[in-house]
Amino acid sequence: MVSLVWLIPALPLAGFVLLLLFGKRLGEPASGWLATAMVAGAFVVAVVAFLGLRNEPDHTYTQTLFTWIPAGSFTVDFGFLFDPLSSAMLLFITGVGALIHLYSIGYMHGDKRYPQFFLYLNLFVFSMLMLVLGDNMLVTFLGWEGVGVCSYFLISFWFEKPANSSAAKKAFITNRVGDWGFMVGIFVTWFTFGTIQYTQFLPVSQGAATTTATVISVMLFIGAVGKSAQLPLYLWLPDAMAGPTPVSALIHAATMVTAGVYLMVRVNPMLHAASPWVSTMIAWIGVGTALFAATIAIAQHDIKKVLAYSTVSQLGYMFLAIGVGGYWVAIFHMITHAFFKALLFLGAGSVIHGMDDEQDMRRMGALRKLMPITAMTFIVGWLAISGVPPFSGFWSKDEILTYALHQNVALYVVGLFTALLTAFYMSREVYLVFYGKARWNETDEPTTLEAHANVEADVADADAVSVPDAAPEVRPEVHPHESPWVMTVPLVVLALFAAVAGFLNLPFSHSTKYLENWLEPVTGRYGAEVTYSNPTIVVLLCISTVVALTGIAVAYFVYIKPRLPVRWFEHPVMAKGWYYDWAVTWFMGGPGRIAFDAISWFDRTVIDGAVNGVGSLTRDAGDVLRKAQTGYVRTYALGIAIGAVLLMAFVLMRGTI
Amino acid sequence: MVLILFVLMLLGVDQEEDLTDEPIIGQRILAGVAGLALLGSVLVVFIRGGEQVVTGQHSATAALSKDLSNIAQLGRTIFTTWIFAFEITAGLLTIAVIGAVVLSRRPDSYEPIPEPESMDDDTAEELA
Amino acid sequence: MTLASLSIVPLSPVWYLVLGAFLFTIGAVGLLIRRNPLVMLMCVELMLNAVTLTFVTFGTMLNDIGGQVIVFFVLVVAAAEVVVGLAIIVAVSRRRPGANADDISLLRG
Repeated sequence: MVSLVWLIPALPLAGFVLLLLFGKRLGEPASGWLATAMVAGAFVVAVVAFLGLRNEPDHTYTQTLFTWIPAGSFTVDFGFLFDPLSSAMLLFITGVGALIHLYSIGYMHGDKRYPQFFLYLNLFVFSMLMLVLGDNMLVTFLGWEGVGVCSYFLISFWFEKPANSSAAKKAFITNRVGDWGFMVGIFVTWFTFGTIQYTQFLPVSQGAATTTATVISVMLFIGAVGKSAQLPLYLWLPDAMAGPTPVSALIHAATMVTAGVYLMVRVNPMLHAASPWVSTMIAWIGVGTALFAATIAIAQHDIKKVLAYSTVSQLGYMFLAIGVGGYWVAIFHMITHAFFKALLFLGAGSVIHGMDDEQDMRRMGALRKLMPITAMTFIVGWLAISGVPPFSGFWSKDEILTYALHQNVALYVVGLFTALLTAFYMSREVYLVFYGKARWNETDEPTTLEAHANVEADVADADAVSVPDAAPEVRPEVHPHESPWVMTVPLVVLALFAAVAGFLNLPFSHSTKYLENWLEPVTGRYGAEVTYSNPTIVVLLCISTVVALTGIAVAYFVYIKPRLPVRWFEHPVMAKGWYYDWAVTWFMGGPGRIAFDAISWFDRTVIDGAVNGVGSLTRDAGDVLRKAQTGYVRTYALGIAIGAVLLMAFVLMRGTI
Repeated sequence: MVLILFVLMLLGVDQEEDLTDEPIIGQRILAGVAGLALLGSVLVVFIRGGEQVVTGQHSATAALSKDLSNIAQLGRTIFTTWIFAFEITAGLLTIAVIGAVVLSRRPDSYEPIPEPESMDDDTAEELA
Repeated sequence: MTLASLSIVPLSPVWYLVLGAFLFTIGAVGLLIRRNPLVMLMCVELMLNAVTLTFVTFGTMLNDIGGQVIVFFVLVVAAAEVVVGLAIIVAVSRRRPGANADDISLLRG
């Protein structure tokens, strides 16, 4: 059963090829159903293979398909490494992916390039599966680049609007900066170990020099920072919300952005062999990003942008877990996050669909009665992400905080504060969208909740894709309605998982720690050992609960019963993302541009000049030598005479020299 | 040389060749230099060498004999050792004569000379 | 009574070689400088005769009849060449009076 593992990526690939050839002919719902069936089939195979994996020794199974690059000493095979880590990821990638495909059938209804959307989605799932299943760094990199490309295609799916294309380009280019780090990491690994296959170099990674391991870890981390939107390179993720909502759910919540986390967990022996400051740096960057993004999320008006910054923040939590040695904890949070974040995004998509493509939260409100299923599932997702027991987010976030406390109290405090902010902004979103007064048919500037403090942010917020013009206009009447069953069924399924996924790993006794035990072969050896007694664990759980409820309560008193002024919380600086985007744009436009122009000049003048110079040198030399062909017989005769003289001289000199 | 005299008379060369200017630059100087160099090197070899210049095998073909006269010996060598070359050169001479006759026939009609540079129609008709 | 005894300078055969060299050089320089085809042909003849002289001298110095045999053949070839060359010059000069060697320059690069 385990040998069927090659079928898992093959099915989406087949879907991609079929849609490429016959997509237009299949037309509207058929192409969507085909794509969904392929991914659902991959999920079924994944479950079957997973059940078979439990019988394998050490729960590891490798399968090599063919030799990809037979270049002498550098031989790379195209193979799969099916072990606890990849099986765990496969299950939720294909599962959540299938649900999102189903959802897209309804969401993309009426779009003129409907089959193309599913083509890209299938290609994306294939790339992600390659990333996770690869048994060496090059196959992982293949998947890595593949998801980057598909992300580009999908973000710019509605490329008729130039803002969407720019967002896609920004995503791709920022990823590329990270990819440089990944590639250098691959090169250094190759040079040090002579192989890039995980099963070959990871067991001996402890023998490498600390500096080498540090370099590799840092380079791979740079790649992860780019792909998983951590602090210096996160700025593509909010802009990527320009793509259709299922894309945001699949790519920017559940799968692609977790690729960086997966990579770090996969090479955790290398992290352990590196200098200790690397892990500390990862932890601080993670928690810093979490805090930073959470502050920005508080002040966003677009329903999707809040979720985008929330994703950045939760990814920060995952890196925090990696940095403090809790590798399996990062995977646990990844799984729960996949469920509740995909749920939240799909719910937001349902709201947008029901509100006729309105994305500004200030124009929503009181949708609970009109979209009951969406509201219910969204609320489940909200409780999960805020960390309210017994939903899944509570358990995974608390594990992260426990591990952080074990390492450094400062990390714990910052993480806890960010949890408070998370609860706050998510509650804000729920209150603005589903509760309160119905604001969607008001014709003035949205002023009901946010006072003059936000007018600035309004005007400056022009880069959000869907905010309408500043001048008040008469908008068509909006009739919010619930979405069709193809969209609500995935929501319900995901809500179920978001509710119960926490029971994958309860911290009370060894037998309830299913996930930690399952991932033991991959993460157990070098992960941190955190043994708190049960009372301590209960105390920590209570603290997390109190923090979450505090956040929810504070938001209640700001938005439902306005006792606290909004101005305290929604700062314009935070709305502008602490001016980070602006700073990068200014730098690239100013000093950056000068550097680019200089390099471009160098390339044009020196390098091209050298190449062209050789050509023109040859031509000019030919021009000069051409003059020897005078056409006169007498010059040729002269040439003969001079030649004879030289010959004579040579023969005579030969004797003397 | 007699032939050349005949040709000179036939063609009626009455125009002296203009030796003052030389269209090709440097031809005269280089020709002078080449000639002097050639002469100089050969003379140096001969005068310095003297009798030892000759380094070949003595009497390779046949020694100059004392009994026969020079002509007789020459004839004997040609008609025995070098008979083949003799016949070939005779053929060559015959062919050359035939060729000369063919080449110097007057053609029946003159076609206009193709000039490299363009001409107007009047000049073309004149030459034809 | 040989000619050698009449002179003041001992007349070794080397002087014939020197004479041959001079004749050859004059012919060569003349070929390079003159433009009239008839004159160029005469220079070629001169060079051929100089070479013939050299051959005979070498024959004497080597005590060999071969030098004089070659003279025979060289002269025949020279004659053939002159015949054809003059025929060409006549043909050309009939059509284009005043033609000289510098006129064929169509192959200039």
